[in-house]
Amino acid sequence: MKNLLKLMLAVVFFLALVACSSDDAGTTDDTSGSEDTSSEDTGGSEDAGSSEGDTEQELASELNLFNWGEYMPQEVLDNFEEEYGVEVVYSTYSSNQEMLTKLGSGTVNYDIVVPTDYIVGRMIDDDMLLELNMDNIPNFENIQDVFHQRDFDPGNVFSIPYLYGSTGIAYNTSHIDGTPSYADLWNAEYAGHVTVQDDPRESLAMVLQKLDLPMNEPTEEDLEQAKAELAKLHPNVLAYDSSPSAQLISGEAWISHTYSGEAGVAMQENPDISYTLPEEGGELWMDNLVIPNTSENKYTAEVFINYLLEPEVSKQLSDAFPYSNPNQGALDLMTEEERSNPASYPPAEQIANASWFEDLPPETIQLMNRLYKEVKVE
Amino acid sequence: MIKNIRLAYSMLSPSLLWLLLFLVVPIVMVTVISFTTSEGYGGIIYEFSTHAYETAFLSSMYLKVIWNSIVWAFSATVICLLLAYPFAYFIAHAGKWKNLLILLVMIPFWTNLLVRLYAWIILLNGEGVINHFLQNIGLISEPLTLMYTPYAVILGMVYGFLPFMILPIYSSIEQLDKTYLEAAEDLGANPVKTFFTVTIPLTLPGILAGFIITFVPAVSVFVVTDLLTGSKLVMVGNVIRDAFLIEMNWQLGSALSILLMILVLLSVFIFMKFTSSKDKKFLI
Amino acid sequence: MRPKTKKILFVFTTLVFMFFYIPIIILMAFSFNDSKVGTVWTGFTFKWYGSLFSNEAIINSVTNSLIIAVVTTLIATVFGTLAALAIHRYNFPGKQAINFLFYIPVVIPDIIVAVALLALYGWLDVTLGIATVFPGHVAITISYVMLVVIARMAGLDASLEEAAKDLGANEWQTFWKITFPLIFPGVLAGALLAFTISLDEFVISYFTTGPGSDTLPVLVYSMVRLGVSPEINALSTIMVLLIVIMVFATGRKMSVSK
Repeated sequence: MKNLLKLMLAVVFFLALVACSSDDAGTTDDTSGSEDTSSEDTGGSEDAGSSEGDTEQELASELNLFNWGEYMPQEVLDNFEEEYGVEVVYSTYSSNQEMLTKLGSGTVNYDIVVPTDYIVGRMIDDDMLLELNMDNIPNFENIQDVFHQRDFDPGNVFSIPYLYGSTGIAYNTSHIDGTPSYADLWNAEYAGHVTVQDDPRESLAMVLQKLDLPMNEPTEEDLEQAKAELAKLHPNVLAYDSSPSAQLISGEAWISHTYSGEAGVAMQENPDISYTLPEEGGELWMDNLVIPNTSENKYTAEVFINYLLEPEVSKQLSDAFPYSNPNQGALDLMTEEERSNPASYPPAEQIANASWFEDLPPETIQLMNRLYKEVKVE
Repeated sequence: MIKNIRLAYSMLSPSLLWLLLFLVVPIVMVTVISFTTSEGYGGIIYEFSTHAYETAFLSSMYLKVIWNSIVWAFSATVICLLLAYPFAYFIAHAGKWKNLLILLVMIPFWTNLLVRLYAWIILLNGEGVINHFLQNIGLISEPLTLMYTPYAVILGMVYGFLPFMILPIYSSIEQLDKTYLEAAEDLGANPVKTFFTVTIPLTLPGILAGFIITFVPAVSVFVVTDLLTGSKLVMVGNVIRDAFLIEMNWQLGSALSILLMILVLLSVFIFMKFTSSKDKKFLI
Repeated sequence: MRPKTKKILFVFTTLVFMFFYIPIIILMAFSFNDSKVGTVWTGFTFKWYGSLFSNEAIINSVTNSLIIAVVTTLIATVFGTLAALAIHRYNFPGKQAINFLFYIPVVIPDIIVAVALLALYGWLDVTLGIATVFPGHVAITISYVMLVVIARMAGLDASLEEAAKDLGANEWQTFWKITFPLIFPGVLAGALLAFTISLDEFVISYFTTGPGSDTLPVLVYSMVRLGVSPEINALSTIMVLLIVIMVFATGRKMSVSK
């Protein structure tokens, strides 16, 4: 028995040691194992780099990229690997929440993530991002002037626009007459052929708009009301899915609450699919390339961002996933037809009617998570 | 003797150390986290709080999710038992074909659960094989909704975990001492009576083991609901997964994990008491 | 059994086998289908296998799965066998509790082990990768190895060891010359079991793997979530065929050794 106790004590000691050493390093968010690497290859460039320009200009062998699913074609990654000899480790997420959770768990070191605008603001406030060295990103000039100054990141210190777009309705014209609105998702005739975004923020924003309630500052009563309304929609729903292009293409889904680019992908494969922003408004957003402060390859990340801003590369992105492209160089390469794709570039009056997402306080987000689950359970 | 005890401990210590480090300590961590305070958008502040448990118990939703999970997993387990027993009984009495037939059960047993669920997606979806077949023979005009229903969840669990039920039952039937059956017949019991009064009680350890190793993974699974219901239905596994990987609510996820663990250990305990079997041997 | 009962059971068994195999056979058949979407047969092709073998992510995940399974098997087999020997041979205080500890991984849901490990790694600020997957795999497979080896030892004749000692062999010689060869089939079976469990394991890998180190089941999951694609059919077909080969190879070996 004594031996066993000794053994357990030894374990406790061991754990305590590990915990202490990681606490010391906790401020820089480094694991103890990476200390030696940071002293030799990145040479403290993370701290000094942003303000005075990088001393380190060597490419790392690997770049860790965390992006939305169905958002970057493989060829873009392959070409970068070939041209620069950097291996891109690519993983995907399906909501801002999921990305933030992964980052917040402290168990992954991504070099680039792609948060939506309102999340960038929060990440800046929480000191989660590294300042960009614009000397390494000369292609920023290609971005349209309107996107150079944005409220959440004045002067683009931390973020570079990736693609932007909207959340609205993709629909199959052989089953649905006229232009549908959000209210049509509730239409009993379409029961079993409706898909809704599998993301509490997105789906509840849609219901709030349908009810003509404020989607960016809902009260608890608003949300309860929205939940009841979503519960009425539930029997109609085929699936909650944030990338329903497959169901739209196969014809299983007739009307989908989804991203414009998902609709665009479906439109390429199935000519019956169309996209519109609903008369209730619809939601607008812009996704941005940022470098989280856990990155150890800041220079390589900036080189990659610069590569993505090349007109040809940027065009490859929106060719594969037809979201709206903020890159003037890429737009210049597009045909007139591509520039008038209703999924990527909806009419101006529709855009004027839509609303941008804004960040919400944590309690509201938790409440939304819970209410959204309740709809599925009850 | 002392020397032997030392030797025994030193032989055990690598495994014990491993299990302590990567099983016991982590579970203790989860228990601790379930009592901590959440900071803003997530993150853990090490201050005592029962907030997670209050949420779990006060919002009827979480209890309902756990209840649904138990009901679905239990139904699936019972269906598995009803399918597995006659099936295993036949195979155990199949003479020279026995080995071949049991190998044929091993193939689905070792085929990855995700692959087998994917097979059902191909069969069930609106544009899937079953719908095409029924439309082609003119039985239906519009595709049926086969996926995305609670039945699909049960089906997925039965298909996924049936081999877990078959194997222990098969082994207990196979090891059955035939002399008991003969004795019962000699004493004039008819085959039906023999089956219910002799065979079933004697194979109870197999049934019990099958029940446990089917129910435990079924009650905590999240891929079945994910893949076969289009995220329309949730089980407790989905809620825990979402709390940890999406919603950054580790306190709630931990509290639910602890509740699930207590529940599973309790039901295992009850199964064992219920059948008052001393035989805790699991078939592997 | 009476012939009538036997007939009914035969039909029942056949139906259950059909339930097992028809979905898998259809899945395999459609891996040769020319059409990318839907399940209408449009022609025979091998192209999905071609694109599979040039898919870097898949090759990468297979490598990861194999590395993890080999490391897991080595550690779990050595540790599990040692533990089995200790528990089988000696009596010592705390044996009951230790025995119980070995049952925990067998009865506890895998998602609990998975989130618990994630919590541990989060607390220690460990970066997730291949190295964080196998500890969980080892933790669950040690118990299986131990149980299999113990089962093998239960049928051992202790007099052989005693005879060796009587003839002057020391503990060490007795172990390597007598005990180990006798329990070797059990150790091998345990190792094989650990290898297959690790290769097949999804939930723990899903929670504890990091970017770029997806295992094959984790990759299959993320592919299936995006919808039906013939590439997954092709991948699944290969996985099923490997299982068939493996099951028949070990099945034959086992019946030979019987």
